[in-house]
Amino acid sequence: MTLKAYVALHGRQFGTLFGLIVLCAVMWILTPHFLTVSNLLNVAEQTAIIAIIAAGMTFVIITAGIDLSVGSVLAFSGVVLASLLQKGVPLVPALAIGIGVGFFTGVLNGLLITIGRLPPFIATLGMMSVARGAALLYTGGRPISGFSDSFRYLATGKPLGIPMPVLAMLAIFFMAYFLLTKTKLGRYTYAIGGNEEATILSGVNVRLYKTLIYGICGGLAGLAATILTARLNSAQPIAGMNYELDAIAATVIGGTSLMGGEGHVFGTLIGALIIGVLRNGLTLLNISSFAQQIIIGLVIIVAVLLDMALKKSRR
Amino acid sequence: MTQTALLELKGICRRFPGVIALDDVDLDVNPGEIVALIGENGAGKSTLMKIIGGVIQPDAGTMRFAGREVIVRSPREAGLQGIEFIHQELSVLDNLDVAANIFLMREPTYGGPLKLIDRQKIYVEADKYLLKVGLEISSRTPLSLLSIAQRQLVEIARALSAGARLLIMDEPTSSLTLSESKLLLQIVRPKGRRRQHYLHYPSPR
Repeated sequence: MTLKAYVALHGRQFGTLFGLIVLCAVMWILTPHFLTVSNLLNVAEQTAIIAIIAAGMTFVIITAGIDLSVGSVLAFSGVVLASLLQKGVPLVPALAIGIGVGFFTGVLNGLLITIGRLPPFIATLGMMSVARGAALLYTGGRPISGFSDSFRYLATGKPLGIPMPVLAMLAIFFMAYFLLTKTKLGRYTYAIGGNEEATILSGVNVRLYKTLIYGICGGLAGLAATILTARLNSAQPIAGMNYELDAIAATVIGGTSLMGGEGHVFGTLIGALIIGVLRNGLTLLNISSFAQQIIIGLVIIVAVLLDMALKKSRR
Repeated sequence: MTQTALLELKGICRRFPGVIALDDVDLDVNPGEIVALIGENGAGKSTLMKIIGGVIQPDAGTMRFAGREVIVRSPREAGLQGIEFIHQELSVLDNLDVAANIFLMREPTYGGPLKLIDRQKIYVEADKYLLKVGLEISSRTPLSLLSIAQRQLVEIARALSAGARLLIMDEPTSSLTLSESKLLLQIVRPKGRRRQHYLHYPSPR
């Protein structure tokens, strides 16, 4: 592939990366503390949970779908996992069941969309309420707190000086990249988003793949729940509120189109880091969380406007 | 030399509510033959094509393909028999490259449990089929850069790579310019030992 063709294909990702570097530079000038190793690791750790959810969201959005239920699914997976751990269920089966709850909730979303023919927005909006209600009902609205050190290691451990959540995030993104670019699942993810009708005519089992993709998205929300619970040493039924919005924002800032058919997971990772750096930097600068919301909202709008302008100029 | 027909339709009937679309239709297509179906709107051309392509089922009648009686319940089953249907609304994916379009659902893989897509092979194989349909572009080209006529050739390449023995084209020239139409007919016209067969009906012009 020529360099020109490569840039044409991946230019958007370089654009997002450039945006992240500029943002980091600005933060460094405004507050020198930003560019210390401990602070950068802190940013990465805080970004990890949203980034892991956003990796699954990227698959869903490439199929021209959406998953609004991930925040609630995170809460439900978290409280199920926590209750199992407190009942003395060993770590590995408890983790498997906790993440499995997320996966099956996602599969349920997928079935509502493929068999039930509901628009993804409606199916997952309903699930958002159902999973939140289930988490509250299951716990009676109370958090479940206090876990063993071996479980907490999943968030507090630092092998080779790198926090576990950051390692998990990197592992997930490499796996997602692999799935999306090297496997049939990935190819059909793009195909479904590009032209679902044509993909069905080609004989691809679109129902199966779509259901699987929503399952992956739910499963990653379950994994995020594990890390969040270990980090807070507590599972809250109200955890993960608005996480779906952050995950969608990270995906969109990273260049994935809500119209489907295009996008890359590493763009999403950079998108999640942009949101993380903004939050961290603005906090270091003592800007109120109210004003932070305005700034992050504006960044999402400007990123997508820029993206649209760039695409137009290329045509 | 007596030749057995590749496709034999006998007594095909199909009713829709309030209208008989096809009434006792017979049709033979010989190997190597190009057949054009011509008729007014509502004459039942599309219905007949869709029955051959497995998109809809006949109410009565039999279909023999390559000497055997067949029933095709879906486009997929038609494809397994060697019947490929190129729809008027081209069903290509313009967010993928040409090779991905040609081999969608039939991606060459490395084998093994992971079934990873063999990206080298997919391009090499796709280039071969592009050559066969006279399309002088790289199979790495994004489909979005191609003209309508080129996209149609990609569909033909796709059908050939699927092992098509009978190719059905629904109004293939309807969205083409005159020169593009001529090019398409040149490519479709069988030459030498080529053993694909085409059945198409031009748009009323």
